[in-house]
Amino acid sequence: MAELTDLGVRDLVAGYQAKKFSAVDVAEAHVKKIEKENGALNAYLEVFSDAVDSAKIADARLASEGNTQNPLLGVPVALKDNILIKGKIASAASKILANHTATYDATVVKKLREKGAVFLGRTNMDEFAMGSSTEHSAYGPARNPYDISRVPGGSSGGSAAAVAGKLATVALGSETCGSIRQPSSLCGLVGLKPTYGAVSRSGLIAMGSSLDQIGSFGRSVYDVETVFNATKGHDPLDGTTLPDYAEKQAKNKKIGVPWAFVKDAQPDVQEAFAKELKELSAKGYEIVDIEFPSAPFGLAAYYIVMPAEVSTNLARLDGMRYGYHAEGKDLFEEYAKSRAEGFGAETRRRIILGSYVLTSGYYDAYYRKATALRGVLAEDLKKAFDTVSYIATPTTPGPAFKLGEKSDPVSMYLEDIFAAPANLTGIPAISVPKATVMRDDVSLPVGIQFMSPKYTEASLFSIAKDVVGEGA
Amino acid sequence: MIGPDDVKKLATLSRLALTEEEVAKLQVEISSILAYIDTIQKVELPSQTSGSVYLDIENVMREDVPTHEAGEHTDALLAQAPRSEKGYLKVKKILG
Repeated sequence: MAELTDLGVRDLVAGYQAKKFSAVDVAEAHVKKIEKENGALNAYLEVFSDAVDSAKIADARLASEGNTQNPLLGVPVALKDNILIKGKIASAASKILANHTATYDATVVKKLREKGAVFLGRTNMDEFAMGSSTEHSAYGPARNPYDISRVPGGSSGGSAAAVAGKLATVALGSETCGSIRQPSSLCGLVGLKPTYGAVSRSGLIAMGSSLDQIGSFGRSVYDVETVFNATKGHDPLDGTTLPDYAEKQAKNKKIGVPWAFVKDAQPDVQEAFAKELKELSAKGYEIVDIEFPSAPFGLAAYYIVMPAEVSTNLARLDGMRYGYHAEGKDLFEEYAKSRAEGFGAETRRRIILGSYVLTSGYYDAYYRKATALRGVLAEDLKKAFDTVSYIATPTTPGPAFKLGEKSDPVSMYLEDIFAAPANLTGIPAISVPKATVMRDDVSLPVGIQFMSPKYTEASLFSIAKDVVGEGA
Repeated sequence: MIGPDDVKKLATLSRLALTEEEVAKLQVEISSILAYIDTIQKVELPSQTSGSVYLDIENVMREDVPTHEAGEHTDALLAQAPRSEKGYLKVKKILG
């Protein structure tokens, strides 16, 4: 018999309806498994002491209102440590926010709580969401459930490890560039980066505000779709949420493939990708070669725009209003020491880089140029989407790598080469698990990515279901 | 390649106290990252580009009205402050 921790949202809904088990049973099964297995995975930074109490509330609601209208009632959810829950620590896996208690709920938390989701705990991540392995967490790296000598990806690596390791049914993560899709690829999960503005970021600790978006992880497409539908929507507390998110449908079953760009993936990943496309063409999709000449430059533009926004967003962490504080002889020294001691190496690197690209004299060569390149990327995509409904690439150049393998910053950054175009232009993208490749005699998952025009998440779910053979 | 003095200047602008070893390490790392991001200098860009084309969004305004009672959140927020006194944040003197 399947364990309660194996079940997806659909099975939980059915089980609650048939009174086979309660939300408390499900929450307790997860908490028990976390106690046993989190030591090896380091997926959770904290398991909430009130998780089972929230499950009791869910059980009361299941008894009174049922869950026919509300599939998330009683479903265990893990939250990335940069999403605020009032009264709980939200540290962004940083030492500088080690004792930071949230004073309000993020909008996504409010929405999920109204729907009766059970928050299990907060998950490990790269500090302030900067990284692709969770090795930049101030609380030690998370590990990949497929091979604990390997990383789960990042920055939302703890959320990915939790769902892949069956320590949560679904999880929320955030993306600035690939931070949901890349760990999904490395952990064999479905992961969605929604349209920019589809989901409110109120209560998400900001990294790169023109890029950040909250999304979800699941072991099935349906699970991710359910969380997206429950969390999307306009929010007066986030001025970038779209006032009129009107779902659009893909106009045809054409998939564009920018082959010149795909060459950046490892050879066996390219082979697996080509095989997946062949299977899709057998299912009625038409595969079309497309040009996407600006795509390879996306990541470089990202490494200008993002640090600029990081250096600005993180300026508020000065050791005076909240967070870590170091004593100094004057105010300047207190700022500089608090920040130097509170931030980790990668965060400091990106702040310095941000200061550089925004320095007068370099602004035109970097920031203005990168901004213009975002426009060119958007034009290239628009041209492609005139013909095709989807653009496909491998999600990542390779499968999960070993801890410590990418100690050179640029080699780590290249993990997100295929992710950058969607974040820079605000379109949605999904990573779908299907292929595996061998490394050191271990079979490791690697995802296929689909991008599509804004507001077409429903079509992304539909093609994703065709890839994995999941019913509507 | 950027020099150690460049890194020190950036650290000051960034309000980060760095040791000499950290400066030396960052000098190498930042130079290598800059070499990578400089690849965008190769891209031909149209002379006129609309800065907001990629986001396709517009400014959202709201009424400039108070959203909460004065003092409603003071205690909760000050509880987060490393140092406070009589309802104020306490910081080092900045005027002589």
